[in-house]
Amino acid sequence: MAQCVQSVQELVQDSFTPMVAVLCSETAERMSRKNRLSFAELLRPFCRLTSEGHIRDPNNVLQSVKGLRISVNGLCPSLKPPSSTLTPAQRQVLHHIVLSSQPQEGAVSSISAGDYQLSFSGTTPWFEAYREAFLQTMPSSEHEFLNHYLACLLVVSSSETVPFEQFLKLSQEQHQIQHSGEYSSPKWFIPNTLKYYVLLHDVSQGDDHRAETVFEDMKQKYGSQGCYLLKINSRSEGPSDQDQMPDPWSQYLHKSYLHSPVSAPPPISVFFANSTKEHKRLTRFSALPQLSACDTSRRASDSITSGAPGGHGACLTLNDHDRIRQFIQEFTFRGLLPHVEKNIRQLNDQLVSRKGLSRSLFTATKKWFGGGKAPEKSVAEPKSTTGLLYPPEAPELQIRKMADLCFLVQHYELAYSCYHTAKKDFLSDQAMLYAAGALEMAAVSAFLQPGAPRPYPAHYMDTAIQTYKDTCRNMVLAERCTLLSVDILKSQGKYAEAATLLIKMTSEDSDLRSALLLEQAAHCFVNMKTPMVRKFAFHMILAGHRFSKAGQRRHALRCYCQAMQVYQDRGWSLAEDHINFTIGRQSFTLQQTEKAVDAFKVILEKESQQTATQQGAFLREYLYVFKVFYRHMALQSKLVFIKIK
Amino acid sequence: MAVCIAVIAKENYPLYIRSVPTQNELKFHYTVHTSLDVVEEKISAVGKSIGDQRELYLGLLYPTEDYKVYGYVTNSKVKFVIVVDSSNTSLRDNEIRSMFRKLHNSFTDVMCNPFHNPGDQIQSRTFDGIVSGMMVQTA
Repeated sequence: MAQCVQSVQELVQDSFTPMVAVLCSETAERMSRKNRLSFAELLRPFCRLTSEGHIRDPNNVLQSVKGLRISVNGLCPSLKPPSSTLTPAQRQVLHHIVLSSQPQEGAVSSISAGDYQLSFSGTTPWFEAYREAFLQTMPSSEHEFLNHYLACLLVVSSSETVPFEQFLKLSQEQHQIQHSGEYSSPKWFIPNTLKYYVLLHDVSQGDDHRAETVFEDMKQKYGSQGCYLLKINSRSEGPSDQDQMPDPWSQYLHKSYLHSPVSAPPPISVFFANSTKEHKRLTRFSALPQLSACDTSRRASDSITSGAPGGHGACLTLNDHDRIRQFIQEFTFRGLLPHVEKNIRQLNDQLVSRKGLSRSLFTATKKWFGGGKAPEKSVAEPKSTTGLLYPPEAPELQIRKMADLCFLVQHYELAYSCYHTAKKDFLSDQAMLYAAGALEMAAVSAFLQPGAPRPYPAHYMDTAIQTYKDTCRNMVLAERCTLLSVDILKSQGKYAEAATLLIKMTSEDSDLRSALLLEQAAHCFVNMKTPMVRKFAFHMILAGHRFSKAGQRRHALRCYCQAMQVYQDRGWSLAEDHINFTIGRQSFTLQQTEKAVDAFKVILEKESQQTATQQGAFLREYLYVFKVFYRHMALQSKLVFIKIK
Repeated sequence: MAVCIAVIAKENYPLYIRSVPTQNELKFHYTVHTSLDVVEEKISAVGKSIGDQRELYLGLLYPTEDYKVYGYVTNSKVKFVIVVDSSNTSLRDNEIRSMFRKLHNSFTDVMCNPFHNPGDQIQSRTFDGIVSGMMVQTA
């Protein structure tokens, strides 16, 4: 595996962050649009908390939560059920991401192993970009709760005449989205989601005093822990010296701009919060990092290039930035963390009481009826292909929920024990998808536990990947599992196992994924203590082949050139010829005719051991490429000649 | 019955590669080349050996989906690699060992030829004959 910018801990923690939804009223949205940002986008750069939070676990031990990051998304309810494969639109986006991320010139490191001297770059930024995009587009699933929404921010602007009415409307809307059962996404963690009321105040245009009074009323109604007055837009709109202001939004918007699907989305009508009496109410939605169809319609309705770089946050001063930062901090520490703590406690109490009861009942019935299932364990039919489906109130799912909550607040010890219990239950019920999920998360929490009291259970991960691939046929989850476990193994120095895992995941259905994983496997081989250089070269060639099948020609060419360093002048003529031929072909397709000519020339120079037909093919290709090259050179020299004249 | 037999010099370039002609020869070349990594790993792991006959046979290097690759290294660091079809389960370890022994003997004969320079490609007809005898016969 190549060296990555993020450490393993960062990667894992960034992949699983507490999710918060945002519902804005129309005026509030317009207020934040003055900065060419939606409200969720406005908050995004400030979502990584710098200070420490505290939370009490069920045993009343104070745990500290460092460097928590939350992810804020606009609410985009959709009716489509989540699928176990990537949609073609998502695949296209991933393709673009890899295509646009090419290696920098000159960033090479040289490795010497045995009698091989290699020089190539040790980092693969395109892989990291792919990984980040992939992990963010994971669909939410039934068997795990990590990307279910924990809380909802209800945002109303202070310029409304009756803010409370708006709040009520938004709250009802959220309730309806969650409980009407029509929408399959987004998913919500608990039946009573935390609702946090935000009064958005425009300093340049609004009435400060009035906002304060409204806020006091809100505090009385919703409690001081449940609401916040956020003041933004201290600067009035208009041309001003923008280059002095930092623009932290571009990097996040750049990603979501790339994420808007290229193909036409299914038609989604846009309703405003004021209209009523429609059954299917899809509210306006802000841009999401998730690849949903919301993006293009939002962009279309804007009709301005909101994805264009620059010009964001034009109405915000540094003071506003601080205020937003403080808002997120307040929300997390006063709203989100206590909510999570309360829920953990509740679930824990439920589990302890139920466990005691069910166990005694279970043993009692077993004694009397000899092995019948206890009535407490009400598992719902029908059995799907992934095994059993649990009803939402099943005790096994409660354990899983509690484990997920603990994981999200970095309480890894408790999370591990819960995952372990959950795994045992799921395995005994033969619910393979759930079991695989529990195994995966148990391994990750064991790894992230500070102090490492137990060795990393690599076999958990292996079983999980196996189950995902074979029993559940869910390649997306299997891929995520592989990506995480490979990073963990790399941080422990176990490159050989990492390489095996990566190679196991390559398959026929996705060329791009196989290509990237093969390339990472090649890097693993070369980063071992005694570098396996030939394996590196071989896997580079395989990766190059898959890249060219996936249409990423520049990456393919790069892979082949790197592999060439190992095979050059070593006497393995057949292999060398093959590589040179492919390099020649690829360079020619990329219009690098000079390189192509050189590559083909090398094949023809030596005494070839190929068959006659093969040599004939080589010769023909060389002549064709040389003709094109010659014409090109002639044209250039003619131009130069004319210039001199 | 082998599908591909290769003799590789001390400097890791091939002295002799022969594979069943109907198959994709390039694939075998790549497989043999990559297996050299594993061979080197095993050699360095053994440490100083007393030159026991048993230590020369390296055993199964690695199994791929279709083939099994076996290795054998002589005292002068010349390596023999045999690639065998996986479906052919009747081949036991002893048979592979005897194949390697035969190869080693005929290779020694080639080296004994005063007109043969070590490091050249092997062009002896006797050696060819012995190798053909070990390969899968294409009817």
